[in-house]
Amino acid sequence: MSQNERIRVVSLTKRFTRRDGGGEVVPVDNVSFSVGDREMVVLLGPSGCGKTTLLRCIAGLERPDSGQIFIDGRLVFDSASNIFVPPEKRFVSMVFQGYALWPHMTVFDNVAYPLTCRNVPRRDLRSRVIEALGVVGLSGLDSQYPNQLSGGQQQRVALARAVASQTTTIFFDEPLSNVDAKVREQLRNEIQRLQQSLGFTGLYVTHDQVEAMALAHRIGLLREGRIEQIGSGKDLYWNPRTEYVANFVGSANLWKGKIKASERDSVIVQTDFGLLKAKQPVQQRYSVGDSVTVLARPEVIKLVESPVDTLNCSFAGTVKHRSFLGAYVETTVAVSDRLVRVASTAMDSVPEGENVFVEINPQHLVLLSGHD
Amino acid sequence: MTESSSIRGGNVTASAARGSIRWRTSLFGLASIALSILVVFLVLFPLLRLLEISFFPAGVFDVSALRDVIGSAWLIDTVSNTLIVVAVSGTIAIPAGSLLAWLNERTDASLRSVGELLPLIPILVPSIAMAIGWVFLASPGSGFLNGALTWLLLPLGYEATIDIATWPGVIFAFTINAIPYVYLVVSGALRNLDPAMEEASRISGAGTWQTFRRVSVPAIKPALAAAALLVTIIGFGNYSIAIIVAQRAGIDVISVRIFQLLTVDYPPRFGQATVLCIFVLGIASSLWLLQRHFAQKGNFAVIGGRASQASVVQLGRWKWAARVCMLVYFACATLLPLFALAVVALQPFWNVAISPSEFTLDNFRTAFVEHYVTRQAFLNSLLLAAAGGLAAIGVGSVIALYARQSRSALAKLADGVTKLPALFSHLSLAVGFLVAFAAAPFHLGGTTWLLLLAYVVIFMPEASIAANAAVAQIGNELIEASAICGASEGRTFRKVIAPLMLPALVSGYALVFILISGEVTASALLATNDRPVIGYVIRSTWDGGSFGTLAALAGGFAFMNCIVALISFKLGKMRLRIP
Repeated sequence: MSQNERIRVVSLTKRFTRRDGGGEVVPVDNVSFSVGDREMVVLLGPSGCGKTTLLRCIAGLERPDSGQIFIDGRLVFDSASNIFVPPEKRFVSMVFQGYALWPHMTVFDNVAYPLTCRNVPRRDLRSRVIEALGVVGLSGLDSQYPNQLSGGQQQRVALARAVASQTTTIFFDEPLSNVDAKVREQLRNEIQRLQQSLGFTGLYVTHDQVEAMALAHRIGLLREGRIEQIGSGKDLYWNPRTEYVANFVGSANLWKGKIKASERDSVIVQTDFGLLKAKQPVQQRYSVGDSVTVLARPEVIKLVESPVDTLNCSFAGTVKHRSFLGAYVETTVAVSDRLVRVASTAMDSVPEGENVFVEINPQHLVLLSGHD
Repeated sequence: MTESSSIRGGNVTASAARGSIRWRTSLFGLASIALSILVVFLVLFPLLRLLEISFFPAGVFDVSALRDVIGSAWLIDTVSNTLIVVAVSGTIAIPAGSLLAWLNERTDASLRSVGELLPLIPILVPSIAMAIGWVFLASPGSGFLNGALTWLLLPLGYEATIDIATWPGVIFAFTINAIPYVYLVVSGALRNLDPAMEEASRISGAGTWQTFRRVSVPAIKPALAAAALLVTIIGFGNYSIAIIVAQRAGIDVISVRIFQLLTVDYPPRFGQATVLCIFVLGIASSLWLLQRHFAQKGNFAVIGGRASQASVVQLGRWKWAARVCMLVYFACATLLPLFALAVVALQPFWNVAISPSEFTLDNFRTAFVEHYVTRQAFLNSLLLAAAGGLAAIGVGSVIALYARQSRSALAKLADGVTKLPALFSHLSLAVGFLVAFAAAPFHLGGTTWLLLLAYVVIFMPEASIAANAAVAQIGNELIEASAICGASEGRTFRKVIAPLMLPALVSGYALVFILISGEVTASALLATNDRPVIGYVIRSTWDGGSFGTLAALAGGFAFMNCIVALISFKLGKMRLRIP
């Protein structure tokens, strides 16, 4: 295990038997990954993909069925040797979706709780709690009770409770899904700022790809209990390994096709509406006859009155639908019987019903091998 | 409000039809007002009469009854005995009941069937049957447990005798009786407590025990306070265990003393009895005020739980110890006393040696066939339960609907008053009914009407909670949607309101039915030999019947309750809620 690894999960599996006896659910299916020191890893996925169960297994709130979990080099779960360290002995912090503030304790007592549980001397306690409350912008609210605070403030208290304790590993279980959009953005920036300034190691669960993109050093995209792909946000966006990843992160035009010609640095793909030219990927060379899926992000496609650049591929189409979204305009263009989604700046937008050409730069197309 | 009136305003129905709607509305309104006034009268008048008899017996302020009580030789003993029994049994029952609730709601020791049955114990095994059962189990000489102890210990050279008719025995019986009420309140509170509260504590470094002590218990403090209040009311008002066990132990308690003043002493000392009732009411009311103050002051807003996500607390090697505790309690409260009742009822004589070869149904024949009064009592009780349940649920529903529609002071008062009897023990209410309605101008003494009215008032809180739950199921939107679709008010009631309310009302009816048929305290005071009910017959057999007949009666009573409870479980999920 390398020096700067804080969390390591090896072949972790968790099964549930359905209550109605209808077989088994496997919310965590043979998952392996690790989180480095001062790294923020976001587990992203739709509801029911097992991301929360995975987090709860690592925190010790659920007992997995098989695999291993290391936290700071210590084996905290191992099915083979029947090791299960309870959550209170894993020395981590967690921010819950529903805040989980204790209603009978003041804000001060809530934040002080993990410190008293870990026997921090009384004289250090006060200054550390006050400091943590200051860090999250809640100075002066220490004698309030949680139900006197707004939702956003309550989540800040939960954040203070997590950073005040001496732990440097913090788990986040969809912490922003209970607050409204504006506060969510503020808190997201706050968490990012805290992570940079305090340098804690974070494992963060969310279904919101914007949140994931903004916060993560690396995103682990989950699908039915497995990690479909793990990497930086940029990596997942521009080099998705599967159609599922391409679709979940950002929006995507995906066209099935076959390799018609393969050269040293480019390929020609036969698709339903014509021939497309694309870059030959470095890591995997395609040869004639291979099945591929072509990914074109809406923002790499241009709308032009007539084809200009001969290096690009152009197709004639009709504008079917146009939505003004502020910073950009989303246009749906019918090319033969296919719909192509195009994102362009408001200034380049074309009215509905007009005939246009969609122009695609081969440099920006991504090839995925096979079809989903 | 404005929306619905504008809909009505914009409606272009013929004026005759609108007239009929108005007429129906006002008829419902009139009926609600009349019923509300009746309920307020039925609850408050007996209380006022208690005060009047105590302090204004001849129309002027007079403390002679109070002076009599203060001067009586029994006062200090009776009051201190009662306080000790209630305080000690409550002090044991609250942590024990809470622990059982926590074990069942949050840990891997949870036993589903125990969790479902435990809060129903007072209904399945009425406390009078439990008390009589324990007399058969733990009397010196012929108690079955003593027989078992001798058989186990004598070969080892030890000797031990347990006796229920002692101080520890009385406290034990009161504790066993109180635990289900604590369990009911605390398990409900734990179910509403977001498990994330406890998980956050574990993550913060607190172990199972520290989390239980510092998070789970303080977070449900209001429920614990409510449980304490409930246990106190039940302890002070309990007559069944007091007359069976405490009296046998020579421990005089307030409830038995009140009975004695009214039924043994001649002429009945109404003044002294009502003074004692007011003393008990005073304690309950001040505790209630204290609890309310406490609940309002504290910060106990609880975020709705995601119970399915709760991580079950692993007790490890303690798991089986915890399960044994639960089963021991369950046996003490139900199986053992029922077993003892069955054996004594089946044997010709109560004897420590159990000999199945001699089992006979003679006692049942004596109790149920030869004894005309018993048969009559069972019949009366069932009829009263059927009628009283209907009346209580009917009145409860009308008042619940009225309180929802109207914002008048009367509606609020009526709604509040329906919950009020929960604060008073059956005994105080029964004494109140006796002094309020038995003599002139109502002359209901010794009639079935007096019992019926008393039952309806005593169990009005349970009926009212069921009715409120039923009404709460119908959101305003559902009624408005029906109106938007063009349905008349009558049609809305028939097609929307009634079908939605019915299941909750049926289960509420079943609950009140069981409670009335199993009532002992008010029955013992208000029924007579001419108009007997079950509670009355058991109570009088305890004074002057054979043990075999008594066991047959109490056993038959518990059996009937179990059957009725099972049927109502089948009919609809019966919900038990404490006001």
